[in-house]
Amino acid sequence: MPDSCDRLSLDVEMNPYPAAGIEVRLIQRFVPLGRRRVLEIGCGDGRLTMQLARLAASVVAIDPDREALGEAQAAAKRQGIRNVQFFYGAGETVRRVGAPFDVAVFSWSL
Amino acid sequence: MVHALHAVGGVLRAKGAAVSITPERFDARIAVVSGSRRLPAGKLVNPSFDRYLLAAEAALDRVVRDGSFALEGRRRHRYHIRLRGPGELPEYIDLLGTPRPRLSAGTWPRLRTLWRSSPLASRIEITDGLVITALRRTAS
Repeated sequence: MPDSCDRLSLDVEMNPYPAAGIEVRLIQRFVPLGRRRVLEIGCGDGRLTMQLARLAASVVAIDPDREALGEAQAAAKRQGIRNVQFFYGAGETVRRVGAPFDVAVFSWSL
Repeated sequence: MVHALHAVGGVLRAKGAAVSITPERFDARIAVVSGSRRLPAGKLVNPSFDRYLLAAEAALDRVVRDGSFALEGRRRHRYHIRLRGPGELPEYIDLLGTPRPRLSAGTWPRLRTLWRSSPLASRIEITDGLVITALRRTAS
């Protein structure tokens, strides 16, 4: 059985992920994100990155998909988010830029 | 993922946290909903993807066993996605990426039958799940 369940949210936009805010809320049950230095591995198009960036002091987001990274950068610019740096790469080749981090999030990356 | 967790351990502050968000190893349920009525139609299955999830779970367990991290906690969460109708299902499945899930046997015909007899404002509801695992970097 799950520990929790969303209330239903009507179709705003087709998206296979939980509604905005759910993952961040669940993360913060274990780890506070406020004013922390966060590393996100597998940021993809930046969907979760922007939510992390609104709470964290800074976010370093990496992904092995250049096209998705481009979308993430564009989204950050569009939303006026300035505390995120994006890098090409995977978890195994994690950069030292921005280290040491308080929190590392493996974002739906296996 | 073990290598990635060890690499991350090297750039975390002492007592820093690593948090993994993965899909839950749970077959997504599909139902037709109208008002408070919910009619189960079947599920989305993805046996190939389950192998990756098992490997990720094993990697998380391994870095706890080898003393690199301590388990802070684990939490499962279910969430719902609503589609306007069966016609949106292929697009939804595409969004899930590869390996592509498929509808379990009998789901599609049952879904079509339920949908045809459902009221106008009905929706297709998919119930999926995620697992959050929080690890704390140890001193070692």
